[in-house]
Amino acid sequence: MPTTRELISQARAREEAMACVDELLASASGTAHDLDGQVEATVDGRGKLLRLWLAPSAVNLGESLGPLVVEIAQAAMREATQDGYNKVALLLGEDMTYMIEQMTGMPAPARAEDDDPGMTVEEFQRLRAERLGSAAPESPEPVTSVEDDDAYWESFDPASLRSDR
Amino acid sequence: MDLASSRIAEQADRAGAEAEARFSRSGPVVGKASSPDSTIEVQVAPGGLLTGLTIHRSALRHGSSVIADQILELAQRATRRAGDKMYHALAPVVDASQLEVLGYEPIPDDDPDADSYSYGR
Repeated sequence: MPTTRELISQARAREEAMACVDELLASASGTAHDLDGQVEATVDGRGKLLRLWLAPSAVNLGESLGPLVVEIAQAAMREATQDGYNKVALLLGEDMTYMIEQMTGMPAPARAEDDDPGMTVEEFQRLRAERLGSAAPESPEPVTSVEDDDAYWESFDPASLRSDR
Repeated sequence: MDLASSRIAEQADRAGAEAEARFSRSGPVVGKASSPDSTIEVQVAPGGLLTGLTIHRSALRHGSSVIADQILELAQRATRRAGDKMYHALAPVVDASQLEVLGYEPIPDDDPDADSYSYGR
């Protein structure tokens, strides 16, 4: 059974942590770019545009550039929302973060059904092996040569240098 | 914990219902800004998220970096205007300090970003 003093200090700690939530959410930011890399936007946790970069070729998009920038800013906003919740979750834990998501009516994008779950460890290792495919046979070589050297010197018999044998 | 969260939710509901009644009269709050020659028009939601951006062909000849800087500047002006509208819409029902936390602040009349500002245009 926790004492009253402990309960009070727990409540205080929770209150202080809650006070940081606004700050954390405000400090969140997200960046997104289009598939061609012609538009890149960074927004804060509320969606305010912080940075916008357009490739020189972006002017060739003509009047469709405007809607594309809007789309990229909204994708960046989803990143920023997730970034904010990630920061809050580190401070308050999963349960409190879930509660905040429900109160704000903005579920973390990572909870979405169609969210990309990323890759599994096996997948990563397979892709890494593929990527290193050409480089892989090269790297073990120096290692084995060092072993060979050791083996050579361990079994080296100085007597073999004698000229009378 | 459940009790606390339901109490917060209830307070939010009550403030939300009043705010909703106001917004249903005024329509969704947006902030708008356009370049002096009206070739770039920006519209944002409260908070600053871009919801509309029109770039006329004639603006494209300035080059990508000039356009990007202009959009950024206009978006910031539009964001302030949306914040100003939200402040005036919510001030009667929500505490001013809470509005400030949300980033909704009034724009002084003599500020160049104010909607009604007419000097130097």
